[in-house]
Amino acid sequence: MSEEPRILIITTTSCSYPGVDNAGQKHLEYSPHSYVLNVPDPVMFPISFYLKAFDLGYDGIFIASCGTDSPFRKTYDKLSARIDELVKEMKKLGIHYSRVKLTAICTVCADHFVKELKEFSETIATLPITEVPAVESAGMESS
Amino acid sequence: MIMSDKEKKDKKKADKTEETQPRVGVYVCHCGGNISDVVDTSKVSKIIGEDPNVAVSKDFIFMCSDPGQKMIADDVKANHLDHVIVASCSPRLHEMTFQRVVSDAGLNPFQYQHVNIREQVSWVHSHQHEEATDKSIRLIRGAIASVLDQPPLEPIKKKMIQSAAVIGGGVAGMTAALDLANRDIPVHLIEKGPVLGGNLLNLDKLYPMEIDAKSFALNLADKVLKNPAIYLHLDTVVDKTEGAIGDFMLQLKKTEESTVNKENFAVSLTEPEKNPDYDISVLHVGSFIMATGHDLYEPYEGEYGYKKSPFVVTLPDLIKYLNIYRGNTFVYKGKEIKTVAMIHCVGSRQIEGVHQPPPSGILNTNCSRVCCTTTLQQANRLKSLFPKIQIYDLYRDIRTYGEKEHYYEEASKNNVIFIKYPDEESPEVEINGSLKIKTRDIITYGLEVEMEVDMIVLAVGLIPRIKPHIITDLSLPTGNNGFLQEAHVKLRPVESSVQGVFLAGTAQGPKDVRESTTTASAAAAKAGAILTKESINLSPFVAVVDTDKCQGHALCVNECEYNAITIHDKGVGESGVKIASVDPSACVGCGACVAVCPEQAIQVQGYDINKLEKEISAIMLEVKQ
Repeated sequence: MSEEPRILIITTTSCSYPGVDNAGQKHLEYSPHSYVLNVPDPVMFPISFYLKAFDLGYDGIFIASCGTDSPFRKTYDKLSARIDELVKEMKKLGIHYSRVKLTAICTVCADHFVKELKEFSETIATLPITEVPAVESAGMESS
Repeated sequence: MIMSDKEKKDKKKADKTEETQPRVGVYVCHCGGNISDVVDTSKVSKIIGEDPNVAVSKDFIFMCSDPGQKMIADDVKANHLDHVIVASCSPRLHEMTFQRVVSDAGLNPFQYQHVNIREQVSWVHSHQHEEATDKSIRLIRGAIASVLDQPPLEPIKKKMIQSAAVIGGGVAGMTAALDLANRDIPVHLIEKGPVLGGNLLNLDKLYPMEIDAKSFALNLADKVLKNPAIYLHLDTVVDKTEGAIGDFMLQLKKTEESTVNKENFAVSLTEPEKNPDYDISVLHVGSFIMATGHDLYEPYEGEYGYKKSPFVVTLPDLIKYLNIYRGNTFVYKGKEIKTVAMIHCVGSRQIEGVHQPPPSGILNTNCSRVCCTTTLQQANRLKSLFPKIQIYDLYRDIRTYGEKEHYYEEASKNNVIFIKYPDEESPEVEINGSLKIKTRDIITYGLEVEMEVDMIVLAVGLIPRIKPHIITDLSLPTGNNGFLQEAHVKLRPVESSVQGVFLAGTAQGPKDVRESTTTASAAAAKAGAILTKESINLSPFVAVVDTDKCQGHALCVNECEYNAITIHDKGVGESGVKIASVDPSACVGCGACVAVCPEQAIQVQGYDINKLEKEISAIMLEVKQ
């Protein structure tokens, strides 16, 4: 098997998970080294969760949010602000900022999703390998 | 045989391990080849079966079939399984099916986890069998790690206020209100205008039965007025909305130009509970239906000559005019109209770079579904009223779907001349004393066509209403086209993603009257199903506080946009120690509070961060081939 970047895709129950399903319904192809983790809203993740994911070996994190169509109040603003903070933290740790991408994927945005993910994967593939310092678990318990 | 102390110790340890070792059942579905043609399901099942936490690992042709479901239920009982995972299609299709299976077999339904290896594996990696198999194994491993950390959950019980509100007094709103009232459910019907009927009052005959629209509206309104279970609020808008399923608070406000004269109605109207301010009423209902309808696209000045010539009119304007016109010849603004051009797709199916966006700035790329039929219906009407009139029909596609096709056939027999103009080349209109149209006809291989006409009728599309407060208050999702979005186009077509809020009629997207009433009845049936219960079981996926960890920082309180979290004294004898607590009926489970807690003392049940970390960690473990 090829050594394509391993990507964690964070989806939302109401928007992007159905959107990613829609890509399947349309039989669009994308990297098999991408793994979906579905949550109600990525706003729940602290910065440490993303850093832990890099520590575990994920080469990139693709956050497929609902954008401003989120069914939850103001979560997209909060999420955007958190990703800004995450990027600052990543820079401090020597992790390239391109390894995280915040985007909005709707329930029928299959083509958009595949295009964005492909571009993201290609971008990451060009980046030098980074040694990510060990990160304390966000869940505060040993995993 | 006498066991040594060491052997006894080892046996005791082994017995204990057997007692405490999780017993997960994993079931890999072939989906009749949809999965197994790409994913090596037997290999997946074999490798997963090697996991010490997995007691049973099987693959089967259709897990969702009766034999598949029975196999899982039997295994749960026979093998004392404590967790179950099914790897198959999207959880949006069958998660609830398998939750019910394990629940019936005696497990907590939330100790079930679904893995999507069809829509998110076999259908998207159809040429990479090895990779797809590897991915399936990783995803199932992630699910095992996750489900083992999932404690049993119980749904949250909430008392249901057994009354409803329907917002919008058009055909969909009236139908929904009557359906609910006929089930003895009290309904508040809220209409912003002074009369019931909505857009129906401006229509002509309703296809395909050619029923008079106004009579149809009045008949429905009469039934509404005479139904004692319907409380009518005319000239009223919903100013503020709060709450959740079981108890929604709707704050009503009279519109500024209240013109209703209640004396005109045959029955007295029951007024709701009032605030001291007469103009504001507050309702509490268990559920409500959005039947807020649509607006019509307003062409911009100069679009096909609109507002530059008085003889360029919209299709609704023509209908209104014909509804009251009684002449033998077609005279409009003092001129006899002998030739009419009707242009389709005005403000619908707009293309970037070709069409000017409406004031909202968002191109209406959707088909409005009703304009083709209505245009041809009115063309036939003109031909019937004024047989000598010449009609040109300029269209992109004729979408008279289903039985409405007969309007197209009738128009053809009536010698309406059809010209199919290119999608990206709208007809040009010149106003120079007369109205001249230039276009190209695709049917005749792009032949340039010019015609002089006396009137141009623009078949304008349906566009979403400007978002009323209620949409923003409850964050009701809208689709790309701006209309309210259903939770699932096929499985939950009249439900919004906010529990207890249902969608009826054109609020959800363009529909004809029959489709609107169908969705209204469906929404009423859905709402009625929950409103007839005294209490409702809500999702357990809400925030919970670990009182041992909570330090009372209150950061979560500030982060919650739903006022679901409060800070209070920890307990008797611990005055001064503050902790947070969550109102589960107000919490929507967004998780905004989770990320800000320095102690990670607040988590969304089912989405514990530690559990999710274990899931993504297990996915990254190498798969031995």
